Amino acid sequence: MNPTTPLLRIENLEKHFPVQKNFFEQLQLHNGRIRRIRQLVHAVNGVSLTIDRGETLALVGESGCGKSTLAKTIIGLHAPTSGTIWYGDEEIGGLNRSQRRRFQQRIQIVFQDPFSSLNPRKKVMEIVGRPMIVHGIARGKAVEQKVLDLLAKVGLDPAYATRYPHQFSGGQRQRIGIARALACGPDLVIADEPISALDVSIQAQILNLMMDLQDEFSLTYLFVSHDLSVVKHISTRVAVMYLGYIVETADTDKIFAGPNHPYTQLLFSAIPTLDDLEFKETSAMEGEVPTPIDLPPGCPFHPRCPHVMARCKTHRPALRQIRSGWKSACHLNDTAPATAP
Amino acid sequence: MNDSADRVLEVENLKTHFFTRKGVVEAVAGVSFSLDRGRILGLVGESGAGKSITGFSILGLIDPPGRIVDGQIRFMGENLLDKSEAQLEKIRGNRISMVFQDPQTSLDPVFTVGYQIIETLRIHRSMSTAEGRQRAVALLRMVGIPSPENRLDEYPHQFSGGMRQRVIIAIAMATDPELIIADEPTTALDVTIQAQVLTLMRRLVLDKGTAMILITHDIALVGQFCDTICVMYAGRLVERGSKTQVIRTPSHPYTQGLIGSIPGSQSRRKRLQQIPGMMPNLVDMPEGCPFLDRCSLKDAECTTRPHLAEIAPGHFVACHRRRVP
Repeated sequence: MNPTTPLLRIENLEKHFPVQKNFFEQLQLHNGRIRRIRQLVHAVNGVSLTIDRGETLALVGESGCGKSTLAKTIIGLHAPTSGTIWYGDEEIGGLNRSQRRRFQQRIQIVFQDPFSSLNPRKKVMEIVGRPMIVHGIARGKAVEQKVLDLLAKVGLDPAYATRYPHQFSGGQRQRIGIARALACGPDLVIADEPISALDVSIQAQILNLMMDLQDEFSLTYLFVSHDLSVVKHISTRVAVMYLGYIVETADTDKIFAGPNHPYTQLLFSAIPTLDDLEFKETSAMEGEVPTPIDLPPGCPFHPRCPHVMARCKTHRPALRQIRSGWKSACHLNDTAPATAP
Repeated sequence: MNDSADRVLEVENLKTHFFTRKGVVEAVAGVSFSLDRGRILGLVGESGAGKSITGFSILGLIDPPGRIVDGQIRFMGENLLDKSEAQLEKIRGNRISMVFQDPQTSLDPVFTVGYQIIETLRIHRSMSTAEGRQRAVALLRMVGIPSPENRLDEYPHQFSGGMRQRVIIAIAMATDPELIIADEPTTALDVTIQAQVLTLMRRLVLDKGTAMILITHDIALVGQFCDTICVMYAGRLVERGSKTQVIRTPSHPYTQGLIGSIPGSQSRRKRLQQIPGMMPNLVDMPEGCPFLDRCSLKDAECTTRPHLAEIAPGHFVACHRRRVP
């Protein structure tokens, strides 16, 4: 792989889900007649994104914005509706199961809920050892030794290998989940809200572990989260999602210093911090996240935007470069020409 | 703060235990605080710290195997623990209301939103349905629900999470209570919606002079939202004080650890300060400081249990090794 090629490149990725799953659910009574309706959830809408080797890209947004769907589409748990996913120089979005296997080893995922993502009937040894056997990394005794090493790396007593998931706390289970993700030596680890189910004092332990492991194994992270203080701490670059669109991407330092997109501004102003103990009333008392079934025309954020203009209601702004390494999808940037940083 | 006419709630040495087959769970083990009119108190701690059980105890909603074994809860001067269930029913939902965490489950899905608001008014204010309806429209308007006349006849599933929580706040405020207990009211909501609901609650509470207890795990939130902060750990209050005292000069090692472990407040990409280990099992708690196993300051003295001691006016800490940073 050419070292300048991004590790992962997504182009125009779309993922839609049918609301009515089968023919009978599509039938609805309307004015005394039976009608067939087919609605779609537009979870991911034309997302283009690159992830460079060694970086931590944070994907942030509120629930329902499509960030988890995007993560699951990258790892192959959903097939893309359209668009391409490139791993290095190879397109992996359109591969079938057996073709994908090679890449599954390179991309792994850590799930949000440490209680439902581990098989309750398997011992830790089997849970963590399984990916090694499946991908032919180790066999027999060698698997055991590797699992014990991995457990030590994620801060668990290797003696726990013979226990079942229910014998562990949430934080410990998430460590097992991380060990499983690392079992086949991935390059890219997708972490889908890895700490949001954990208590505050345990969150810091897991974040520290993830940062340590990144250094030790030269990992690249795609970190999906709605918690901006966590994102600010761990990420090197941020992509903000709203209603299935990426509305802004920039380096973490820059975006937290002065977000460009009105949605990013609203999102950032809404998080309580300890920097200032005065309660700040929100400026946007009205407005809710629209449903991804009926997307608003034009800019997805225009019904809530304080700066809405006529053109926002009809034309969707493209995600375009406003400064070096900084992209935003907002018509406000059309009038103000891009300035040098 | 000392004017007793303004005192809404006084909790003294509250102990709520659960008698399970595995042993006695000391879910709340001696909690004391007081709250005045128009003030907001934050109860903060991790899951299992006993903060919700403290809230339920005040409302008299502890079911077997749980029991309040000791202490006093004086609401407007009267000890709620001396009251019969019938007397409590007149207070609960009327003079003390509650806002729960999950807006999905705290409204009944088979009744319209309007019915559920009017029910409260019928029971506690003996209003007729017509009067109640008028008041319900006013309440929904107050919490910022557009076209309340129409939405009154809709069912909870037709409302979004943020809107449902607004409805619950409307029900909680319907009877002009003296005290509102809000248990993680915004945890299930998105940040931008959380900001709306918090702004709304704060406006209403300050406007009407209602006292409020906010129960949450989010220390940054209590730092902004509350006047007084109580930090709970393993069923005990480990620190209590004004928000400035607790956030700016945290003096219990647990509070210090909690604040230190918040990402974003420290230099990026550095290791976060972390509290090792986890909260002890509340069954058969060992003697001594509950934080002992996780504390970096522990010494021989810590094997006896520390009690809350005043280290500055109004600032209480339960730690033998308390230090002002």
